[in-house]
Amino acid sequence: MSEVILSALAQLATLENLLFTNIGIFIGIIFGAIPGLNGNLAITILLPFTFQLGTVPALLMLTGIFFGANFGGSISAILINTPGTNAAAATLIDGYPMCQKGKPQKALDTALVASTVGGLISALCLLFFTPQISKIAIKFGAPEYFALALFGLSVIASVSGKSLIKGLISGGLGILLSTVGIDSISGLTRFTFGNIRLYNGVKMLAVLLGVYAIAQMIVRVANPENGKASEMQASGENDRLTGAEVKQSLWTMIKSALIGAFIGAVPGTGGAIASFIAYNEAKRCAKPGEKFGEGELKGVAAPEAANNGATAATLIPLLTMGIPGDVVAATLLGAFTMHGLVVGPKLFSNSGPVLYAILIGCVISQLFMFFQGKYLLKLFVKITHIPQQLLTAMLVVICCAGAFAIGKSEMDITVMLIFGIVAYLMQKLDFPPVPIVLGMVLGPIAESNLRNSLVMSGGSWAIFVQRPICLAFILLTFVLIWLLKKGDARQRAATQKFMKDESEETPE
Amino acid sequence: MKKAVAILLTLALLMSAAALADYAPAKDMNIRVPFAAGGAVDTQARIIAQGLQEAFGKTVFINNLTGANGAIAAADLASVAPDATEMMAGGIAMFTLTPLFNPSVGLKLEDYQIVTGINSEDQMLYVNPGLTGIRDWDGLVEYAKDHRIVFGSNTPGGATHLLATVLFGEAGIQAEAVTSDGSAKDLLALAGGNVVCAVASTSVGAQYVEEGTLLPIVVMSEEPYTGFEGIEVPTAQSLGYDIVFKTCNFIMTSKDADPAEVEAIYQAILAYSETDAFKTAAANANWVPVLADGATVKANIEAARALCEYGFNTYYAQ
Amino acid sequence: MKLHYRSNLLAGIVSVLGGIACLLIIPAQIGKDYAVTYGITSKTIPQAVAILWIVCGLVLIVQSLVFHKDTVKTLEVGKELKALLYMAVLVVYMLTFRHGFLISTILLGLITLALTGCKKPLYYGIVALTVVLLWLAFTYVLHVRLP
Repeated sequence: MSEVILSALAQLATLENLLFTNIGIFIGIIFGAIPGLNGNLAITILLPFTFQLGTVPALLMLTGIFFGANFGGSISAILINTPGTNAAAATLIDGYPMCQKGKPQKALDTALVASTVGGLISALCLLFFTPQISKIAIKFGAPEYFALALFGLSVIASVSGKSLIKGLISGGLGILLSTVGIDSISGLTRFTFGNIRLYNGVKMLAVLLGVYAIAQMIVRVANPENGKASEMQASGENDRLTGAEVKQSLWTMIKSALIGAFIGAVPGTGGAIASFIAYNEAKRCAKPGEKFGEGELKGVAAPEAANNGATAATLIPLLTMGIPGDVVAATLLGAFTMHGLVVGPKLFSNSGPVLYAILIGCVISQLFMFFQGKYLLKLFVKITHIPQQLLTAMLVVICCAGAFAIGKSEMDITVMLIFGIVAYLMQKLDFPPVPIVLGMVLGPIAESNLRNSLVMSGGSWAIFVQRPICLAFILLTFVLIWLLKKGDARQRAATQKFMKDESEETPE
Repeated sequence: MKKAVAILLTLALLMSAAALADYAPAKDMNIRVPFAAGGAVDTQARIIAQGLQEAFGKTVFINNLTGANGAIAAADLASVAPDATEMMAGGIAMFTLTPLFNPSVGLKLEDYQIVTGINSEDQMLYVNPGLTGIRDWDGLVEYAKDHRIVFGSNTPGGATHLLATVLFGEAGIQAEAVTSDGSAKDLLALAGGNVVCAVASTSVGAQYVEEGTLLPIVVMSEEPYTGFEGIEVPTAQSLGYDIVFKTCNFIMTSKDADPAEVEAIYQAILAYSETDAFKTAAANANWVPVLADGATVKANIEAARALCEYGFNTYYAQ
Repeated sequence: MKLHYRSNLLAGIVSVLGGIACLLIIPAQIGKDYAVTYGITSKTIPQAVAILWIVCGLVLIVQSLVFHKDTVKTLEVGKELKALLYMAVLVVYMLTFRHGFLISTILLGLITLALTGCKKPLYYGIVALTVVLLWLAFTYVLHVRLP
C-alpha cells in the first residue's frame, strides 16, 4: 500500500499537474458562476484537448472543473439570486438576503470557506474510506432510496417560508414536472403533448433559470425604481468574514460536509439533495437570534459545505460501481474511461498508482480552489456595482444563451421563459419557489424506487419497515419533522420578541 | 476466419487509398450523438472523429443531441441537406424497439445509409452465486420453484427488459423487473442482493465476473461466450430458447448522400483503425471496435427486429 | 389604480383549478402500463399530486373564508401592466429566437433596457455587444450552434 502511495506521489508532483489542476478549477468556477453554463459543458468541451495530456494531469484538470463548477454555482446564487448549478439552489435561501443586506463579500467568503472544508473532508473520505463506504453503499436498494427521498422531501417543511400548505403545492409542481417525459419504470410517455423534445423530460436547470432569474427580471422591469438604490445596501466596512464567525460556523460546516459526503457516496445521488438536507439540519439546530431565510451566515455555510462535501464523495460510487450522481459526474465517468481507467470494483487493484495520484490530487485541488476563490471573488463581487438596469438586460440575454447551452435544445429556452412567467405569478400568490427544486430532484427518486420496492416485495408495503437502513431513515424523517416544528416555534417566539410589526406587505 | 479478415482488411486498405484520393469534403463534418457526452458511444464517436479529422483535414464536430431515443438527433440530421459529412451515431434500439414501443418517434432504417458499425456486444444473464447459490440456468429454474424471480433491467422498451421478459416468458417462469436507467445500476442491485438476476452486456459485467461476485449463465448469441477466463457461457438457444440479440451501435447518414463519398469515409475510418493511435485510444476506452460494413449492420438489425416484434406481440401488447 | 386581493383565497382557487385540470389531462397524456404494478401505475403519482393540490387548495380557501387567516395584497395596475407587457415580449421572443438567435436576442436585450427606463445609449451598446460576444463565444469557442 505505501509503495502505491509513494509511486502515486511521484506521479503527482509535477509542474504540469499543478498547472492543469489550476486551469481546471478556474474554468470550473467561471462556468459554474455563469447562469446556464455548467461543469458538464466545460468538461465536454475540454475533453478532446485532454487527449494531448497524460492521464494524471488530464483527469486532475477535469475533476478540477467538477469541483470548481460546484463552488462557482454558489457565486451567482449569492450575487444575483440565480443558482448557477442545481446544487446551489439551497445556497440562495440565505445567500441572496445576505448580499441584499450589503454583505456580498461576507456571503461569498463563507461559501468559499465552507466549500473548502466540505471539499477537503469529502476528498479525504474518498482517499481513505472508499472500500468501506462502497460496502455500505451496496446495501442501498430501492426501499432505502425511497426512504432517503422521503427524508429529503420532508425538507419542504423547512423551506416553505410562511405557509407549509403553499410549500406543499410548490413541491407538488416540482414532482409533477419531474414526471414529464418517458417514465423510468413503465417506459410510457407522460405529459409530452406529442412533442418529442419533451421525451427526455423538462431540464431542471432550465426551470431553475426561469423560476429564479427570469421571474426576477420581470419584477425588475415592473419596478425599475427599486433596483436603483434601496434594494441593495452598499457593502460596508463589516463586509468581511471574521475569524470568530468561521469558528462559530465551523461545526455546522463539518457536520454538513459529513452529511454531504454520506449522501454523495450513495450511488445515484448528488449535491442538490445533500445541500438541502444539510440546510435543514443547520436550521433545526438554530440558536435563538439566528434567522434562517433572512441572511443567516450558517444558512450559506451549511449547503455549501454539503454540496462540495458531496462532490468528491460522489466519485466513490462513480469509480467503484460506475454509477454517476448527476449529469456532470456522468460526463466525468466518460472521461475516466477514455483515459484508460475502466471504472468498476477492480479499478483500485487494476490502476492503483494513477488512481491514487488523482485522489491525492483531489485533496490538494481543494486548497487550490480556496486560493483561486479568494482572488476571483474580489472580482465577482464587483457584479453588485453594475447598475441594475444594465445588469437586468445583460442577465436576460446571458440566460437565454445559457439555457440553450444546457442541452442544445430550443425547448430549454422555452421552458425557462414559461417558468419565468409562472414563477412571477406564483410569487404574487406567495408560493415559495424552493420546494419546486426539491420536488424535481427527489420526486423521480421517490417514485421509481417506490414502484421498484413494491416489485421486490411482491406488493407488500412491509418492505419499508423490514429493512434496517430503510426503517432508520423513515424514523429519522418523522423525528426531524417533529424537532423542526419544535425548533421553529421556539425560534418564532424568540424572533417575535424583537419584531412586533407583522406587516405582510413585502417589497418585491 | 482470421485469414479471411486479414485479406479483407488488406483489400480494404488498398481500396481506401484509392477512395481517399478522389474524395475531399467541401465542409467540416458533423457527427450527431443521441447519447450523453461521456457515454461509451460518445467516446467511440470522438475517437473516430479524431481519425476523420486527420484523414480529411476538416474539423469534425461531435454534437450531443440527446432525447426521444434518437429522434431529436435524427430531426437535426433531416434538417440539413443530405451529405456524407452530415452523420449521426445510432443504436439498434432506434430501429427495433422504439418503433414498437413509441411508434411516433420510430425511425425507418430505409431512410439511412450505414457508414460504419462501431461496436457489437453480447447480452447476458448474470446471477449472484454467493447470495442465491444459483450457478447455472438449471439452478435458476430450480430456485424459481420456491422463490419469486425479480430481475434487474432497463424499462419496457429497452433491450435488456425485452430479453429478460422473453427468456423467462419462454421458460414459463413468472418474473418481474426492478428497472433502472443503466446496466451498472442493475448489476449493483444484483451484487447487493436486491434482485435475483440481471441482464446486461458483457463489458458492464466484466469486472464483477473477474472479481468473482457475479456469474453469467446465459448469453443471447449464436455461439457460447468464452471471453471470461475459465467460464463458458451457454447460449439461450442451447437451452431451447431461440433468443439471439446483439446490441450494436453504428454511424449513419442520410440515404440521399452520395454512396461513393460514404464509402470513402468508411474506408478512411478502417484505415485509421489500423494505426497505433487508434488502437491505444480504443484500448484505453475499453472499446472493442467492430467496424462492420453497412450491409452487415443492416442485416443484424433486421434479424433483431424479428425477435423484438415477436417479444412485443407476445409479452407486451395486450 | 390599485387592486386588492386575498393571497390565500386566490392561491387556493388557483390550486384547486390546477388540480382539476391535471386530473382531466392525465387520461389523455399517460397510457396503460405493460407490466404488473402493485397498485402504483404511471398515473398514480401525477394523480396524487393533483389531489394534493385540490386538498391543499381547499384548506387555503377554508383558512381564508372561515378562519380569516389571510393577507390582503395590493397590485399596482400600472406596474402589473408593465410586467404583463414584458411577459408578452418574452412570449414573442419564445416564438422568434429559433429563426435567428442573434437579432432576436439583441432586440430582447434592448427592449428590456427600454422597459426599465434606461436612457444611457452606452448601456444599449454594451448589451448589444454582449449578445454578439456571446454568439461568437458559443459558435467558435464552445461549439454550440445557436439557432
